[in-house]
Amino acid sequence: MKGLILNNLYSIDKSVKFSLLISTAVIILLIISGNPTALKIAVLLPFLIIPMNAFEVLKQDSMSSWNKFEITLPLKKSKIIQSKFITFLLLLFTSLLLTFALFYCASIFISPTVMDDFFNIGLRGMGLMFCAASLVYPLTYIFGIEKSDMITMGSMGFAFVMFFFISFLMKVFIGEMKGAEEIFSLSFLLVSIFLFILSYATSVIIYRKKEF
Amino acid sequence: MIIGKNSAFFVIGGGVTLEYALEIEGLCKSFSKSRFALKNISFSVPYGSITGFIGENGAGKTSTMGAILQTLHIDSGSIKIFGERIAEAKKEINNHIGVVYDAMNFSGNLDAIKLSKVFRYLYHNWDNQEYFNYIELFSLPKKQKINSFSRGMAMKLSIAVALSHGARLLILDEATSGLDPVGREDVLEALLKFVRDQKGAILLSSHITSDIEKVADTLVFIKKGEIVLKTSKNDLLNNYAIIQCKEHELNDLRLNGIIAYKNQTDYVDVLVSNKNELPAKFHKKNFSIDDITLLLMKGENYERAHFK
Repeated sequence: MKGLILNNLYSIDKSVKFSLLISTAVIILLIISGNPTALKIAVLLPFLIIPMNAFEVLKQDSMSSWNKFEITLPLKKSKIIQSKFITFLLLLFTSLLLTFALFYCASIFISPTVMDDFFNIGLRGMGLMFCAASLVYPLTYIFGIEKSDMITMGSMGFAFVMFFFISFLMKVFIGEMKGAEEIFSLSFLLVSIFLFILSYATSVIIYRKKEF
Repeated sequence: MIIGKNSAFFVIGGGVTLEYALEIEGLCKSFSKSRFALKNISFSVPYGSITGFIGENGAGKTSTMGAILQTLHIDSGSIKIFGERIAEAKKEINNHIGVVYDAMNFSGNLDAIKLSKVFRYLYHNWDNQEYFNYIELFSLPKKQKINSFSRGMAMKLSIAVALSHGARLLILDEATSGLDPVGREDVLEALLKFVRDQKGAILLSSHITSDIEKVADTLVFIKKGEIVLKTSKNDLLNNYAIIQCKEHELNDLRLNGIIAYKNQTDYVDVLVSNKNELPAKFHKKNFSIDDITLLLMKGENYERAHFK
């Protein structure tokens, strides 16, 4: 499976490098601005930009017909799906590392307060992407790569709907207590991870039935 | 040479027995969005053999290969590779199967070097030295992105990969298309070398029947999802013939085993499987495998037209 992940990363390496560069530049500019809303956006943005490249892998696979060839490899179909999900996780983890590194440096050299909302917003950023990914993979395997842009946009929409729905539930059941923001962020992330795991199982079932 | 339809062995003149690398028996596959179907496909590819798989576009060559490689799910029948029935649980076997499709199948952002790094992790027996020997032999660039390769270069790269991981069975779908004459010669030589020690077997489909004529020793013709003829090349060249006769004379050729016939303007072209003891009045036409392919694809099946 290592080879599949390497192939995935090679196939999107240019766009990943570009997103890393853009994210770094934007985070630095937003941190320098010192605006509290800008700082929140600076944490969130890399999570919305960098892991998106993982969805591009499906498009590349289809365009190059690698998706047909990889079935002929000595690997079970579940491993092929695993490689796509692991590529997504690697990019999500990269986003976390990049954001953390830049904010940590900013907390040392600019102001220690820039880290105040980091984990709270970071958890939400990861939650949003887990949520979106949980729809992107199975839907792309069902409807094909031709509809991938629509699926990605729809899945992002779904992620925000889930975000506000869980936020609404938290307000109803917990209310305005101390630490409610953090509890919400963690709950949203856990629900999203659950959906992501469910999505993996569903994608494997769909992929096993798929013909190329 | 006897090609036993249900036998697990391939018997050659002196009694040498070789196991089949690939055995397909009663393969059926239908498609929900098409009326096309593979109907009762049965043939085998012995070790040491290059089997030419011949048919026009849409005849079922790629679908049959898809069934063998499990990119398609079959309705019924059995496919055995190296004596084992194929299954998702036995994908390890694919370490020994080399695949070349009719188009490039690798990500365009990679180059030959990056591709070797990918395959080193994917195939247990990946041989980097062998791979770069083929890259040299086929005069392919090592650091040029694959998406800038010509079709011929892409096919050569696919063949280099297929030959570099200890495969014992090659499934090649139109692998020689798009190659220039020199490249084609190099590739055909590499394929002949692959089967020379009797440890490898090749199923090769191609529109270019001259390539098949050059390297294949067994021929399987497919038309509209059905096998219409399977024979050895020697048998075809030594015993088969294309006869030109009048339509009312067709019946006189029945003893010579009519395979197919095609009405021309004022005569009929007939493919017979036994040209020996041919009545003297009949005229034998010089033929190539291309002519036989044309007759099989465009002509009528005699048995079906007259007895069903």
